[in-house]
Amino acid sequence: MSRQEIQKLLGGYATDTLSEAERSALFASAIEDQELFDALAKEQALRDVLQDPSARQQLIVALGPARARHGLRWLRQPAVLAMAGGMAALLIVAGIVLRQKTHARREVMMADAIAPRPLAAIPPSAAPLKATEPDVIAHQPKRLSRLQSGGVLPAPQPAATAAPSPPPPPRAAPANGTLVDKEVPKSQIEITTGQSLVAPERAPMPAMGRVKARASAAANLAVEYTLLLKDADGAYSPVPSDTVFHVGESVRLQVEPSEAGYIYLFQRGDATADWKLVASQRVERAQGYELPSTGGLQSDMPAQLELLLLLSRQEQPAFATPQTADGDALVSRARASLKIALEFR
Amino acid sequence: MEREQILLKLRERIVAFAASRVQGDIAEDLAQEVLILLHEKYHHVDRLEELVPLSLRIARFKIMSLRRKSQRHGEYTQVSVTDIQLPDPEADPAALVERKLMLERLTQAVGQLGERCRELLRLKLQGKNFGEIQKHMGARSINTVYTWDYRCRQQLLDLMGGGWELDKK
Repeated sequence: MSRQEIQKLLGGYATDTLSEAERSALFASAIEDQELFDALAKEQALRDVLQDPSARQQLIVALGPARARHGLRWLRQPAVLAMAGGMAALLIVAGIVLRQKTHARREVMMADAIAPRPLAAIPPSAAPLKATEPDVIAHQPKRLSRLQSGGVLPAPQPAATAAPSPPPPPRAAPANGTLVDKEVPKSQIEITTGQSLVAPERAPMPAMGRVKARASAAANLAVEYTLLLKDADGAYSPVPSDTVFHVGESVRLQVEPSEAGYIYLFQRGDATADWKLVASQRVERAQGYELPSTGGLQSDMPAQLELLLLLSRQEQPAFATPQTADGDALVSRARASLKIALEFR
Repeated sequence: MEREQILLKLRERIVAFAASRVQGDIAEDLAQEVLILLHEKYHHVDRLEELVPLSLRIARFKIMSLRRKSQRHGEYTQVSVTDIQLPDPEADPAALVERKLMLERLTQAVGQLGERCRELLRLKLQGKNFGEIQKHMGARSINTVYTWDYRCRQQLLDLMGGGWELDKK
């Protein structure tokens, strides 16, 4: 370092912000150079003041707020802003086009995936659903049900519901009881996997346990859930969503919201009963949670247990004691909702 | 460089510096007192990077002390080597007032600096070294930062009347 450069290090002496190499260079020069030593000695007064943290803080406050980092200042240029806006618009348009293309492709997959099959084609000797579970699980397809914003999502449909029209096949009675079996417009159901939804020959394939309930595009909220059944070891394992449970079995829901918020799980024994809050939880985005976190959903007698899963961005203290049989009233306060039916026999 | 060599050089520098502030013979004594203190109390300090700032600090305290005594007694009272007291690490009231006044002047002056100088000084007060400041401010080279800092320091000195401390002459 030249003498001139060394002198420029003086500014770092008072603030004590010199690196080790800079300090060595400065002091080594200072003991040889009287002028530099004098300058350093004059800096000592400032150094003594700045060694007091409160004095430093006072000066920082006096200096005013920090300005934007140099690396980000270029973002303020009008040309850059205009270019960024143009790029953003281009990306949005490209996204919409891609989305439309994807939707079109999925519709073709739906048409190919399920051929309408008359009920008569099913051999009367077809094994009951429970008996075919191992095979069924091996073919677990993924289903995605779209929700209207703030509306109630129907429970996962049997595979036949997703079949393309025309003509829709006559709806078979749920084998051994399935989840809520409401009519859903075809446009509201998407198959997100290329796997067949029809079980090989023996029985209609139950829907997979993992279901994503998604609010309208505006709300852009989704909740994935999986039904869990308590096994003999006391552990909860995933089961298909149209599983019919035995009386006394313990069931849980594993949920994974697409957005942070509060999730509420209600249940009721029949359509006229009040909804009862079973579980509520603060949830983070893309984290899995088991509901209820302790115990499980059970029925002591053959019954259809209705569940209502709500996701709200805000905490809803009123949900603690809903005292209402009107699910819509609860749903209207949530950002996304999902109705599920569990059948116990 | 050996400690003895460093101390010899330091003595030379301190005498010269003190001579610009006090009388020549007193400057010699002051330098001697600094060295005695370095030898007796700080004999474990042997690195150049520590000895230089330490000696500067002691020298400054000694000069301030001499000035106060001169003002109080109206004359210079020489302190014999045997009567040298170890400095109290706590600042005395006079030093506190001096610091307070200097901080007030500094506070007023930094508010008049340009935007770059304010940013540079803020980063230094936050403990960032020149390398970090270079990255933060997007300077092409560290020499650019040295130059900015040198100019800002000069500007700040000018705003404070040419020196950090008030001229007591």
